[in-house]
Amino acid sequence: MSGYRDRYTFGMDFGTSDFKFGPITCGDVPRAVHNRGYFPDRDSIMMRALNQAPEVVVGDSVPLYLQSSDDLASRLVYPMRNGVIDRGDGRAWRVVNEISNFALKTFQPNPGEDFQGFYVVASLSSVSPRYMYERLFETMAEAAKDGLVRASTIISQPFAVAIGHGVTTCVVVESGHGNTQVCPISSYPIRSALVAVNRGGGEANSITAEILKDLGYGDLAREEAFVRRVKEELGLLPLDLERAVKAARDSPSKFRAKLRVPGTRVEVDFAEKSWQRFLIGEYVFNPRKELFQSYLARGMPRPRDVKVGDTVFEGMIDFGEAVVRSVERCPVELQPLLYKEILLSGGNFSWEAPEKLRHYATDAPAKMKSLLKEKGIRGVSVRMTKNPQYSVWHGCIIYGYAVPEDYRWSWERMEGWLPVAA
Amino acid sequence: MFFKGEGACVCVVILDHARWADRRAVMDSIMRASACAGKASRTYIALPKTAASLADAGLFQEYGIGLFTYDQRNVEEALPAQYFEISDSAASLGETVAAGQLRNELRELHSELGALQRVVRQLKEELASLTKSAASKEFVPTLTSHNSLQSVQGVESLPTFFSGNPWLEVLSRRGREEAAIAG
Repeated sequence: MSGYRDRYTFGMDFGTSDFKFGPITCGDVPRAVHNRGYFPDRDSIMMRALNQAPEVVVGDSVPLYLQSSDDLASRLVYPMRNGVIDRGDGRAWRVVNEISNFALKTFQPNPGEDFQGFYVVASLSSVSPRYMYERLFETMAEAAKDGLVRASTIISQPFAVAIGHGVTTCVVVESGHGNTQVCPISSYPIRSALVAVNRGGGEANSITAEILKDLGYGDLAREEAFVRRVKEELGLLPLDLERAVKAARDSPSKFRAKLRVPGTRVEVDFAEKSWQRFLIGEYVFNPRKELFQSYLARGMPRPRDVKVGDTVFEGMIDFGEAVVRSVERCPVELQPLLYKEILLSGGNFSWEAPEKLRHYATDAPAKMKSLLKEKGIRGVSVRMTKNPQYSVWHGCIIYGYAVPEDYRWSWERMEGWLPVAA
Repeated sequence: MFFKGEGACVCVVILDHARWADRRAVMDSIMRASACAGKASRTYIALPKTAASLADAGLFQEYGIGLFTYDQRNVEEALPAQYFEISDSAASLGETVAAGQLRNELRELHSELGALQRVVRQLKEELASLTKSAASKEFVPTLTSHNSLQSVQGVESLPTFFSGNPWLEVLSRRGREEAAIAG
């Protein structure tokens, strides 16, 4: 059994869009597939004739089974889109089960090797309720029957980010498509200090769509992929919204936002309304600005406070306020140390400031510092995670490698190994 | 201070006004002035006016030493110095004495500099040895013995994100700290 876990530690990162997986022997880069499953129409003539269609298809094979694009919305399931799966969402759980087995079988060693199951570390959103942990442990127990799993555990994604990043005392702000989680870590996740915000990259998409509609691009605004593209290529994050908007209104040509899709006649031009570029980034960080009221009044969905499991997701607090609330739930002497190490993780923090607009547009760390400064918090250190795509998986691997195997799972601690093999 | 011009040399020994009550300083000034007397064309001692009343002008006159008195407003020649005809070698004595004083000061500065350099060298050596010992204690990710696993593959085979990661140490103590507290 010597050297076992330096070959058979296995990480699984259930991201909102991508599923990253692989054993420690992958090195620095895991495998990745879309975190989705496709339920083909098994009653179709083609599928019955081929008699090959599984109930659910995952991984790289999905495109091979895609049928009518009209059915995509109902048949293509992204189980973790908002970080949480409904307890009764049978199809989503089916996808999770299938994709987990796909991952383990992809790296199953050949017979004859000393393999007795992987030490699996899976990572879920920090707001995942207990039933998600239970269902995932059941999935691992099923896989253990095939000899694929020796022991399993689950850690939260922000905790994994801190581990992967090598920082033992920090605040991890994880922002994905559906929500944002603020999680202080001090050798352990401080779960009582978790603050969840019901706002993520999806809200930036919403405001972008409204802007496109106002500009007369209503048809294009219905295509999510195109809206996301406009957000990523034309959206800006202002350091000071009022100042940036005024400058852009005074000199629209300097801030002109124009996007042409290569190979098409599709073109979007913000023209003299290019100041609206700054609304896209600001809305993510702080939706309470006066400028957003007209959009909300016209029906743009307002981020609401929602309760999922035991966690209340607040809709309208700004990210600076979320960080302050979270840190202030921690012991006073720990607070300065937490402010000294704030890690931003997730695609929703990928904002860039074009060089010629650097006096008005900024990046996520600078914006966060600015929001905290408004609240009287100075001397903070805010930085992006170095490997935003893989830091969760890295954290899973380190956790699985280092934690003693006799450290048993506890529902109080929400840590430890759950052995599934004798 | 030495003033030189047209074959003559004037020596002025100044007693600092802050030290006029310092007997040693007063004696030192008088001794230096007397050493110059007869070797410079004229030799003066400059005393603060507050100290001038204590000086024995007759004694200075006997040895040909002149007396300047000064305060914050002006300098007065209270007693003219005797003129001495001096040879070129004697005239250069002023320079020699001044140069000697400068040399002495330089010697002192050099000595202090040498001492400082020795201290800096010593500090550098101590810092280097501290740095070396800190580097040798840096965590190297190897298989720990917490679960009796022995490394089959070397440290080099671990992913790069293991290198220097403090969580390896922190996580390897999971359960041990709680057991230690309970025990």
